[in-house]
Amino acid sequence: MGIRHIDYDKCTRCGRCVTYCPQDVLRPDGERRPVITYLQDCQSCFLCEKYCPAGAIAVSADRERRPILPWKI
Amino acid sequence: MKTLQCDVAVVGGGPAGTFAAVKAAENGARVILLDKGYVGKSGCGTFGAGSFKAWLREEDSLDLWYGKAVEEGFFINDQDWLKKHFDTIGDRVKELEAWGVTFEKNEDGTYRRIEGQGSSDKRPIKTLMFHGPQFMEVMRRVCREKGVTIVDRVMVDALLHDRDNPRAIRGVVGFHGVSGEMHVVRARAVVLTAGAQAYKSHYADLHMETGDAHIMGLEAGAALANYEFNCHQLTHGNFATHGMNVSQGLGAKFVNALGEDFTAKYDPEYASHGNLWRISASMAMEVKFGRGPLYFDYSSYTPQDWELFERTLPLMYRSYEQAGYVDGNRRVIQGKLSWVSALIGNVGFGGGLFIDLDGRTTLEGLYAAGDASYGPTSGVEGFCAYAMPAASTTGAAVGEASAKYAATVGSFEIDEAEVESLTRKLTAPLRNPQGVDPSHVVIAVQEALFPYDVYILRTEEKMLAALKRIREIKRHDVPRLRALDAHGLRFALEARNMVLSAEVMLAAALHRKESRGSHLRLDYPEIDNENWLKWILVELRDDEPVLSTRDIPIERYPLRPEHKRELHASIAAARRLGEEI
Ligand SMILES: Cc1cc2nc3c(=O)[nH]c(=O)nc-3n(C[C@H](O)[C@H](O)[C@H](O)COP(=O)(O)OP(=O)(O)OC[C@H]3O[C@@H](n4cnc5c(N)ncnc54)[C@H](O)[C@@H]3O)c2cc1C
Ligand code: SF4
Ligand code: SF4
Repeated sequence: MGIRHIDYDKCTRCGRCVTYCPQDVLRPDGERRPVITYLQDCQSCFLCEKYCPAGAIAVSADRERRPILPWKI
Repeated sequence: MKTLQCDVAVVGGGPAGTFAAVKAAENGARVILLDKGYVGKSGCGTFGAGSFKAWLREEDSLDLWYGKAVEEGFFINDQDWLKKHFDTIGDRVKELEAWGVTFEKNEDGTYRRIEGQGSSDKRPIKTLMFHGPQFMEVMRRVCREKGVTIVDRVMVDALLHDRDNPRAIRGVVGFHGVSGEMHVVRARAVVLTAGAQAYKSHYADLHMETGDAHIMGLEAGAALANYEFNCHQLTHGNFATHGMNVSQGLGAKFVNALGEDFTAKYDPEYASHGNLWRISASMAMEVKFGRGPLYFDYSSYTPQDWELFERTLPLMYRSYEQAGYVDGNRRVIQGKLSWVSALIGNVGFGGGLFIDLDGRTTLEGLYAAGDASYGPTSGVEGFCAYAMPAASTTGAAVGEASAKYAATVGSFEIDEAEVESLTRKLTAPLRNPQGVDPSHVVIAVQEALFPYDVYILRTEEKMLAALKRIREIKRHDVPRLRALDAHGLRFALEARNMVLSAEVMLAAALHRKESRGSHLRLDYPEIDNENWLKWILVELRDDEPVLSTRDIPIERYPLRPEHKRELHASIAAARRLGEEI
């Protein structure tokens, strides 16, 4: 399910996650807080979580969409 | 609209693009580097798993590395390029280190190297190790230091021709992914390094790679090659995973539904450490023979194993814990995890823009390198000369060649009418707010391409059915794609490029009537060196892919295949096991 949580109490509004996200999932609101704007495009790459200096972001490896697989599992 | 000017415009800032930009700047060009993400935090290079298979003159046997690259490249490498790669990779490593990229070292200062995928006891291929994202962080800084102008968040999706020469490229058109502002860059030369087509696959960290370079090149008149060859990855069925090497090192095994460890049956030399497509083929065979589904089996893991696993792969461990596979005391709850193959298109090797030894495409002024190119060094997964090392050598070479070429171009004009028509074409989805959801198109493409009998164990019948579906999507859905804002426009154009790549891939795969490496056809199970030592080139005419072939000049090359024909090894192994295939 991709990026699942931004802890706004911890977030320092540095903007790094917004700048770095390769999929443009996050956008800043009027107060420079990152907002999960385009969840469906999140690729669960963990970059935002890894680079957040405040440890405010949690990503899940599960994606929002069910994967299409080569055979039935 | 923003209009920019330079000598060399580089599209895509992964290892290939940053190397190209730096080398073009060093050769005196004014360089603009555009990326649809943020240079240094986008593209496969940012997520590289740390293995850099560089041949080192001081330590490695050239015969072994060259031989493996051609053997695993199945003789479709451009061996002139391969030689150039080996001649220059050492310099690239030295440069990377001088700039600050960290490679693991032993205490005595020598490189610490490990054997990874594709290495065997008989023929060990040792890889350098880098520290994931640090590589691309350094490359961004070096671009800046060399005076490259970086433009982040601009997706380029069309090329501009010279007004007076329809076979020459003189610029690019793109838009800013947040503001939507159109960007036109006039340039004496353009380098496409926007990476692979990865079909937004069920694998980690490659959803940015949607063949944009391939399709904009194709539409501008350039030729693609090797599009029938694909890279396969292996991953958990529910979520994308990595760290297979570490997992195996600690005792995880591939097993079929009967609990049998099956990989060695198909590939005695490498078993579960072979090229990814080989394991993928073995898995598909097991499924075909009724012994699926398949698992990666962690049942033997002790709490100590999990502890080490957690230290090396913390995110993976957390995913397993969240999924309930391991408990709080590091005991296995569920050891057998569903494991699948994933088609990841031409990441690391395979299809892309056809280039000559300078990196020039079939159009003047248009260059390509890395995964945007057709992988001349590696052919089919010639892992001794592919992926990040190949992106580095090809990128550096095209940077230099494009700058030298740009210096020969005098004043030129672009065609304002072309700028206008391309702008209208690019922004069409924005005028279609009630149109087709790009997600639908992505899923439809994946449904057509991802079944194992379309991309692993191929037949004409299945590929024709898939192609029919892709053409239906192309006809009905693509013209009506929708975008609600600039973000959505990127994803609409990416979906469109996926459809067009899928069409090229299937057309090329149907055309190649033999098996070769990852292109495994059950209806043509032999490698046919008599008729198929050829590259399949694809160009566009009236919106339709047109195929032709070009002979590989094998007689000139140092290494040539031994046999005229031979049964593909995966099929031969299955037949030896008594399977009817
Ligand atoms: C998870 C993962 C792990 C890997 N691990 C390794 C490894 O350990 N060792 C190894 O050698 N190889 C590895 N590879 C493969 C390797 O990363 C790639 O082959 C290599 O990065 C290709 O380099 P590139 O510069 O051609 O493309 P990329 O690194 O993919 O860079 C392409 C760039 O172009 C940009 N771009 C794309 N489209 C556009 C557009 N339309 N407009 C503007 N910009 C655009 C992207 O944002 C990106 O920055 C891995 C790949 C993946 C996915
Ligand atoms: S996990 Fe990756 S794609 Fe998802 S929001 Fe974070 S940086 Fe973006
Ligand atoms: S990176 Fe972390 S601290 Fe910075 S804006 Fe994002 S959530 Fe906030």
